[in-house]
Amino acid sequence: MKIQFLGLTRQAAGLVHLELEGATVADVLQRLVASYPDLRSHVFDGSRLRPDICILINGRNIRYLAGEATLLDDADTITIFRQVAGGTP
Amino acid sequence: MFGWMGTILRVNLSTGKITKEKLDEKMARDYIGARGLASRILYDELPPGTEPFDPANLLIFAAGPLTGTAATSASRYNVVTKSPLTGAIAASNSGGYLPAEIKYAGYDLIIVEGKSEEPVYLWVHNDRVEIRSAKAMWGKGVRETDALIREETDDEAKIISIGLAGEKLVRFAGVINDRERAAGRSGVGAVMGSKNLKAVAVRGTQGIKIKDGAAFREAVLRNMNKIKSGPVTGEGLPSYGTAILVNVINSHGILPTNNFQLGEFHGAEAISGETLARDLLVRNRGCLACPIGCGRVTEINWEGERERGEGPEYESIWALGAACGISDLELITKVNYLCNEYGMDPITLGTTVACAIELFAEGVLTVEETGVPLNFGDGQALLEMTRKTALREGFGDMLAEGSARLAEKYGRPELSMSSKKQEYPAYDPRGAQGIGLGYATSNRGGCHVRGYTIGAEIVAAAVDPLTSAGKAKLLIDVQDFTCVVDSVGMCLFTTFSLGPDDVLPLLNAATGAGYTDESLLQAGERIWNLERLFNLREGLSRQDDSLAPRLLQEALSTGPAKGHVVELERMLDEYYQLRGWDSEGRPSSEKLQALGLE
Repeated sequence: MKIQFLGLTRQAAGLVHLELEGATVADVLQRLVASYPDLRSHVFDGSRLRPDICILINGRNIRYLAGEATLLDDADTITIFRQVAGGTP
Repeated sequence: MFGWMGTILRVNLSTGKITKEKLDEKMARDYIGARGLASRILYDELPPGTEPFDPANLLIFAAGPLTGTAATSASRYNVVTKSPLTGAIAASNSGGYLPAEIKYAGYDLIIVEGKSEEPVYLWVHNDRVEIRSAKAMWGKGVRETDALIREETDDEAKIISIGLAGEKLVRFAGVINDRERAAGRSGVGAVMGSKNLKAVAVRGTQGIKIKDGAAFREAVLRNMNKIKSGPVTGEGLPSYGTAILVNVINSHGILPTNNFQLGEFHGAEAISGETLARDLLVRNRGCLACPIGCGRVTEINWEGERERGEGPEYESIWALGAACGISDLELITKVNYLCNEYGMDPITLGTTVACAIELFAEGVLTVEETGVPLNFGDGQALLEMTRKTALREGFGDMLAEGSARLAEKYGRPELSMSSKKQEYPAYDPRGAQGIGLGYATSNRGGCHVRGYTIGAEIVAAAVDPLTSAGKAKLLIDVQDFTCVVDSVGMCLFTTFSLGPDDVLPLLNAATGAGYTDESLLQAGERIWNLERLFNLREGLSRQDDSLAPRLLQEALSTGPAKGHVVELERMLDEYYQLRGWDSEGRPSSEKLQALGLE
């Protein structure tokens, strides 16, 4: 499946996107930080996901799916970014 | 008084009379300042039914009790009037350095009434206040006006001015301060233009009295630490500014594209915050006492010349980009610079052009009317329409009325993406139900900063954006707290790290007013209800708390929100009930009594 990085995770990975395989979100994240160690601190706080990390599967936050246990399909797009905000106050 | 300066400056441009009035302490406590206090005065003093361009309309520049203090990001003021775009109350908010200067000159509010026979500007230098001729500045852009007035007054003066759009009464003209900062929405600049008031120059040297200095310093430091350690305010916004949201919102499938026909834009990456940071960014820019520094100084290569300016912000990139199907970031940035220079709201400009493009695609508009073909993705057409709109030339004269009047004139009112005649910003509410209810109920028309539920629905992902359950309560909480933040004079972005518990000790230490948790949020609720009463008095009703038919009837066709429309009616009934309003959206007498609004 396609992994897409935005903002700070893009900086840390040095990539816009890449292709990676994995059965679940947890699998993919472990493979990801193993290959790109600079990403670890952006994704994990110790062994847990950072509270401000956002992971979307085809645009849907994994919080509304099965979290790290969410099953993946080869055609999925995973988007990973740290919390950001906008609007024009 | 502490926090508040205790004085209102009132200038009548018809008579030339200048007066200074004592700020009523109870009113200040009840309505806090800035947005709240100015709204109370507008409600009390503006005769119902007054036309926005009538000299009787008031134009109020209003700082809050924390504005200009050392409180984190307390650099804001509001411009309050009756809007020529919506006919509803307008409270447009801006930051920078000017807002604090109003306080340093000794005032909480500057109320402008009447209309000058000739172009003038107001020169406020502490106690000394003069109405001066602005003939030399009329017809000039914002930057040149700023330079000319500082040359005539004081190089350290901070300037509020309108550009050509305000002079030409473009219904979505904004007021610009500090050359690049905009109170951009709802046409407050057009009201300023209608009064022949080109600018207000302010220079002040007075301090702001703080009731309890030690407690204030402690609260400031505590809040500063929270701001700096918060993921959004400490890293997200400083690193990329607001433009980072382009890819994020597009990934959620709710980046409105081609006049809200789609929720995903194929050109998002080209206009993203990441691309802006890589190709155009010169440096960050912050407002007074703000550690966030979300502003972006950018530089473009335009027609062989290097040109530098501020922005574009996320909303502008979207309106001038995805909304019109345009993926040329340099052109979008150029149009944004022009909007700053003309003093024109880029959100309404972009969405009005997008509406015109759809009318053109439908064959309702032809080249005969528009002068040039209008197609999604055509940046040059947007550029030309920007200039024509600001100057009200040719078809631009129609665009200058905004999308609601444009679509109405051509018999297709449903193609205006607006509520209460003000255009929506950059989040398709079919995939974020709370913001849909927010657009519908916003007291100033389609708007994200009256109730930014995107913070909970998307940024923090604390609630499911696709469900409507619980969104009425969420929105009410956000709306009321936003009233507080806008009224104390702090930036809305602080709310990504600070809550009522953080604002309360700061406000109490500064003012000594003794707010409680309950009374502070009740003040926010009071302000919201007062704005509602203003709109009801002007003839608005439940039918105005609605959304464009497209958002209610046409489901999104792709992305995670595929198949969704906004479930407005159910949310609206619950919203009215929780607000203590009747089924037509009128506050009950019990509610008015509880809020001291009877």
